[in-house]
Amino acid sequence: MLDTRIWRVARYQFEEQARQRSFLVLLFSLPLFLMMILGMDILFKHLQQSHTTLGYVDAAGLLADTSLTTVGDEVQLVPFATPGEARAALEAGQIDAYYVLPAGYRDSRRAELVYLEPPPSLVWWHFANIVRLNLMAGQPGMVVDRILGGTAVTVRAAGRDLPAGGPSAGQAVPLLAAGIFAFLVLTTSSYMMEVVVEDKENRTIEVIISSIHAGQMMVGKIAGAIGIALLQLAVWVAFLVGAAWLGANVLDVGWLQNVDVNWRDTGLIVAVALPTFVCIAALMTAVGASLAETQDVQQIGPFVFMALLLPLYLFVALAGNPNGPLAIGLSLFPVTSVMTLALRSLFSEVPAWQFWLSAAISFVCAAGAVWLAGAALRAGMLSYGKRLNWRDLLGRRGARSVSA
Amino acid sequence: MSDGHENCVEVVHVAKRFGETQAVADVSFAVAPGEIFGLLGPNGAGKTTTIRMILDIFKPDSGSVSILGGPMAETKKDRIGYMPEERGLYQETSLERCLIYLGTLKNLSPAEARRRLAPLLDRFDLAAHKGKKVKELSKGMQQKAQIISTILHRPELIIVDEPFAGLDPVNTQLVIELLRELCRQGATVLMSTHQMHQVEALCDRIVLINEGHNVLYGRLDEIRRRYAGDALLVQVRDGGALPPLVGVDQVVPHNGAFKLTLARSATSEHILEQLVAAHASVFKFEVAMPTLDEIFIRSVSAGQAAEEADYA
Repeated sequence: MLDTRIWRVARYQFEEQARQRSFLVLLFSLPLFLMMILGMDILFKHLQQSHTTLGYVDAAGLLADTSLTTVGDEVQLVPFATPGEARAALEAGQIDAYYVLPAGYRDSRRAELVYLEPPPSLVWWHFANIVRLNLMAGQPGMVVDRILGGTAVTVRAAGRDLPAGGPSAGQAVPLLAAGIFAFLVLTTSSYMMEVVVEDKENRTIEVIISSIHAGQMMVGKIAGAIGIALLQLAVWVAFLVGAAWLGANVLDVGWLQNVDVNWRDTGLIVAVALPTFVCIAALMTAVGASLAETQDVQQIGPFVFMALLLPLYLFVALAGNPNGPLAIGLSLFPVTSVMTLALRSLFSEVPAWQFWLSAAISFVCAAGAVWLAGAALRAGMLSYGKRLNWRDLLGRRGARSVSA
Repeated sequence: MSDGHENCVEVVHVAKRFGETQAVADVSFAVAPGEIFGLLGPNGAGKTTTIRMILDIFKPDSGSVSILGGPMAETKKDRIGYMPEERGLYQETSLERCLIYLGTLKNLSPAEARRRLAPLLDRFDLAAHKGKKVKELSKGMQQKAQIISTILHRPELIIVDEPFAGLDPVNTQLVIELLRELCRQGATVLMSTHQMHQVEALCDRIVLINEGHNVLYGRLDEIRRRYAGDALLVQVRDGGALPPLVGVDQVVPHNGAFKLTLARSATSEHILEQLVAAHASVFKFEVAMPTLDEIFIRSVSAGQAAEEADYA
């Protein structure tokens, strides 16, 4: 019977939030964002694939070699003897633009690009590399390749290699999981605080408590919030997987192909994230029970956000010493644990026991937070228009247990 | 305090303090099964705190509360219907959904709650509004919805705090009839209200508390007799004038009759003898019972005067 009521509270809480327009916007904002990213990628590729015919007038006599093939045949070069011929071809629509390398180019390093409509930036980049190639004529091939390749920094970290250009998509999955966790915690926590404060404001809390136990109410509300978070998670993961598949197989996005997911760390981070989510949601519910008005919730929200993202602010310190005392300490503290472990997993092989210890600490804290939420609700629910004094709460409970 | 039957509610010398404020100092009363009991008192008297102690929302600092035969327990909550003063409904939810949800928390299945709700919505003229959000309803409609929420699960004990607030006379009468009907069906009602004429119309017994203490407690008719004092209501046929009467300090017209304030030495028998001797055509002759409003004001004022005297 008791479980039925918790279920009813949870279901009501779930349905109430799921019906809200703001929730639906939030639910589909990430997929829409992904679709936008994919759309931009498609557009970029389309622009890249458009063929440009580029004329050039080499008065400097520099361009002996125009065989640069880095962009395939997307830019076709057409030589002209004089600027007049090139101009006529441009106006006739035979070319999209033309460069003029004046006779004194080697000294001035200034060229002129003429067009009727601006050509894609790829054109400029391609022609500049052809000029570089010819300026480096006579240099060893390795030097030429290195210079044309541009800057490339490779980070080598203890215990884990990071490829040049940052972590691979597979390595970033634990961090992505932590990011989703932070987002879910943030939205759910604010919602939980609002729900409890609203219950106090409109006095429904008094009616509910005269029907079920305060603890049942809190467990039901938290369970409803978990349900909402799982719904968000399911929708987002489905879209992420779909987008990754589309990117890899349809759009040929290189970094999405052959993704080697770090399943070990991802699984362990999820194991830590679940009790941590319950812990923070319950704590926020307790805070909500202690607040007087819904506008107070807006003042608390940023602090939660800052605490969750604290590991990101300490990124340099964590990357510099991913197994140091600060890193381990933040990994075991419930609010910062998930993000810290995800960041550390980029740079080092975090021992499994640290994940499990962190999960255990979060689990114990979650149980305590649920109890605290029930107690705060009971003590704070009737202090309409007043904030709960936590000292009073603990003192009152003590007095009660003595009198009982 | 008990009359042999097990009382539905027994409050024995309860006290409750919040910080420096003594919300309830010493309140005692019992509510018998099947009666409509009035819990009265001015603002801040401690009525709501007392109700919350009865419902175990607050623990009393001292004294004891028994409800439905013993201490409050989770299993008893289904047998109790509670309507707090003001609001108590989810404002953003549709009326029907809100009431069904609250009903299911009282252990009704959603289907049963829906089945019971339909005739009540009809009775309270709310059926056409069941799809509206609660916040879109008028104050009176919300009050009626709250009453429905209180009785939907057919509780044995109904505790209502200001049930007539915001109701027009028609709906007030509707609620009065409903409470009487529930009592006839065996329910017990504990009602806290400021509306004394409703208490007079409904309640068998009352307790009046002021500043956390019992001031009056007992059967309503006995209390009124106790406060009747030395006044008579006399009406003569055809609206005629009264003959000269000895032993009357004051005569004032009162609803077509005369209200006579007797001198200390006079009695009602003495006045009646004079009327008969004067061959007055007496149509009505009765002891003038004070209204509950008057008793309330006199009791509370007397308490305040005593307190001021103590203070001086």
